[in-house]
Amino acid sequence: MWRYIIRRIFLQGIPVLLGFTFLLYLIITVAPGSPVTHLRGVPDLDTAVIAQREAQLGIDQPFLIQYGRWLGQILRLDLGLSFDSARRPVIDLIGERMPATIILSLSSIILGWGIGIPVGILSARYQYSVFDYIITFFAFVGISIPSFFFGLVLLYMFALTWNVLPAGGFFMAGEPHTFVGYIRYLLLPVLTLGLGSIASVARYMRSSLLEVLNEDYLRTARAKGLRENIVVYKHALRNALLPILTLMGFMLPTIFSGAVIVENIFTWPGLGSLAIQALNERNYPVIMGINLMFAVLIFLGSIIADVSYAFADPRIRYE
Amino acid sequence: MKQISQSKKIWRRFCRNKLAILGLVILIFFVLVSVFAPFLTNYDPNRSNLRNRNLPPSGDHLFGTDDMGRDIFARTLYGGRISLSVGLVSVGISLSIGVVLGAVAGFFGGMFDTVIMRIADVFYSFPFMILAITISSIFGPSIYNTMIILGILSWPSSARLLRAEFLKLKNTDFALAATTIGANPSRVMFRHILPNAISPLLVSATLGVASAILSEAGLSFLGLGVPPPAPSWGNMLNRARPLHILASMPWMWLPPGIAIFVIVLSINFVGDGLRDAFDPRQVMNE
Repeated sequence: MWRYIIRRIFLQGIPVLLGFTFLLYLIITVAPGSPVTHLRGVPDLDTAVIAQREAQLGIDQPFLIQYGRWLGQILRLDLGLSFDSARRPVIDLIGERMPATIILSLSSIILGWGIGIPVGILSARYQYSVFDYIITFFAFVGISIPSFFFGLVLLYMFALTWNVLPAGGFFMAGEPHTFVGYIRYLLLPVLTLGLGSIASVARYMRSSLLEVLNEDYLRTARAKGLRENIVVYKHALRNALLPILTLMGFMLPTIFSGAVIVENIFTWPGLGSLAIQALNERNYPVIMGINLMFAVLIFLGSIIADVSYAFADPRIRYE
Repeated sequence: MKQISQSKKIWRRFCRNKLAILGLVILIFFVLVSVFAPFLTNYDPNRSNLRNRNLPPSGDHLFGTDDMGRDIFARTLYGGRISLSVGLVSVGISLSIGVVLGAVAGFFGGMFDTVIMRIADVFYSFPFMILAITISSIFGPSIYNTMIILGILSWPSSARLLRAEFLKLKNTDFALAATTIGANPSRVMFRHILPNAISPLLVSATLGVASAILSEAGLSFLGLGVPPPAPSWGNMLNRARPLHILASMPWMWLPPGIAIFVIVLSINFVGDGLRDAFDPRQVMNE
């Protein structure tokens, strides 16, 4: 068991994470323009001065050495200073914004799994019933409707027309953090972000349960006279839920991608809106930091999904 | 008994799926409407007329006009051209990378497989949107950059799919026979094995077009995809985001939003119908 987890982290997780930092550094490096580009246009500036500046910044070194140096810095959690006038450490900026993104994503995951799983189970249990057709249709709608359009529709209805929920943000300055307040601010963004997960979880759950229902051991269970409800909800469901656990790891990147757009619509003070703001200011250290942060979050998420899978499925442990 | 060809069987199975047929009809409608856009409207989608700003829908302007006095009906029609071409080109790019890498990984295995699939994991395990907006802002948003970014970031799914197919097919009798009579590896891979892996690839390409259209609209909505004044459904939605427009001028954001939703829905219906039609486990009572 522990061998499996350790292998999963060191042989799969760490190389992927390293590969990602390499890709990210490559993209930033091949970007047109360098920190000394503006110096090249200055008349009467000795090329020796430019070379000196390059040496100062370390950009006269070969790519791999630059990358190694940068990697060493981020391993010490030194993400550099932001480019804007405040010159704040990037790690602090990210730390401030991260809780809002985590709250938003976690709530959407809970909504998606909480509704998607029971709906998918019922849809499979009553396959080809009217309920099943309606759910199948709405699952298609859920995966096809763009979050930015769905978000605007919700905003239009609940915040602008009926005026029952705030149009965005997450607690005004000085507003007390009450439970009702959380619900009011979270409702629209979480519904927007969660709709897609509800739909895809319901679809996966349905097909996973249907696949299990055809297995031989279920025919045995029925043959020995068990009631259909016990066959489905006890014998079949336990096995059908296993693949859904791994789905968690797969869906995390999608959730975070969606969060960027949803935070943007509802002016949610998370990493996604920080990313857009930083991109508009060409604030590269912040962008790099956010990209890395998301990579680490996804890495942790997939490890958790895999470990819980290993706990749930005894077949994994003895491999 | 008359022999029925394989493709005819597949087509018949596809036709039994009502949602798939509905999707196909809507999709064809969208394609025709955006191809023949100049014949359907007299307005230039990019021509602003400052005297006619913010007009509600009327006989003159079917969907009204936007805050620069441009005809929204015309912009919605021409927006279809952008969505469809970005969808098709980016899927073309991702397929050409994914097919080659997936085939090599599956056929040769060993080091090739490990390295290619680890690279695929790197792309796969990442929030697509964040990397896409980062690259787009560094290289500058444009329609071509959007196509390239979407293509390059989404190859791993077709590579994984094709790798699995190749692993399954490379030890079949016909593939071994081809190797035995001296066909070189690339001929075995692309002339003998690939045609047998075409159906799952087609399904994934169809669904890929839908998600590429969604991603383009999302990027443009964030201002990092197709830049204005070109009419893209995403940047039309972006332009309608100020709360006063959102609240009182729904004609500016409903048409592009509904267009994205309906085209993506119809492509998903078609893709799902294809998946079922190709599935040999589907029993056919003929």
